[in-house]
Amino acid sequence: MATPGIPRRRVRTGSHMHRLDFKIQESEKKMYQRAAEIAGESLTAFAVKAMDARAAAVIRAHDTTVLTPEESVTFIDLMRTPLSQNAQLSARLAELAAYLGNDA
Amino acid sequence: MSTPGFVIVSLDAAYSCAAFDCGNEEINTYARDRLHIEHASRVTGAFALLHSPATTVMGFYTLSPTEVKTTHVTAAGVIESHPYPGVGGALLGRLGISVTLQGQGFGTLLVTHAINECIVSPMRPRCVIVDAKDDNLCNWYEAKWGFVRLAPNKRRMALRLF
Repeated sequence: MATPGIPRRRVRTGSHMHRLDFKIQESEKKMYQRAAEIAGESLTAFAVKAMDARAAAVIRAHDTTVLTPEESVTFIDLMRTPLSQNAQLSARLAELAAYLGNDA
Repeated sequence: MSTPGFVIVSLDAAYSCAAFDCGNEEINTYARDRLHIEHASRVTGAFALLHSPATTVMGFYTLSPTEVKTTHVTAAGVIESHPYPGVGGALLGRLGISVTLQGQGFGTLLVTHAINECIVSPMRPRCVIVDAKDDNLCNWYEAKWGFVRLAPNKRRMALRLF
């Protein structure tokens, strides 16, 4: 059973459409309903579009590292200069390989 | 796999993080409440340090793919992204070692394992990005692996792989 007030999410697996089912306050529903009417959409279409936009933004933010202009200068320099031997990294990788019994 | 019975393996639902304690409450809470969820939903990929055959998580790290976008200041003083695609990298997001194992080189082992995972990954991330928690850790990443601090007043660091 869902705890009152906490969105309950039920997802059916399979190739067909899935269902999301959750409870909201009456005041929230009234506001969403009004907004959906103004937008000329069903409440479902309105909710899906809102979730879609938020999900895309959250995923994009999670999957992206945006550097400051100052960091960018160092980073571009680092990536543009010819790749040189990294003695520290080579030493660490050799230690790891030895530790893992050459499985690394 | 490893000599003293310690292994580093991809996180499995059977491994327990319930009593994980690295001395940092933020990381403890993450390990106890979020690690399994984020790994299962592929928000991040987690690897666990276990003292085999026990399945208690003694340390962990998380890796996720990240597109590194660079920015510049325009003539009008506005910060904007460069239009060309970013560099494909890997983000070393979280790292924790149980207090009982600290000071024994397991942190070095986990970070090196993470870097090695990136090197052997078919996605071939060109760099590893890490946001170090403090200046001591910045120095540690720099001295051990050659990470480069991207700005003097920030603790974001990058290690070029390819």
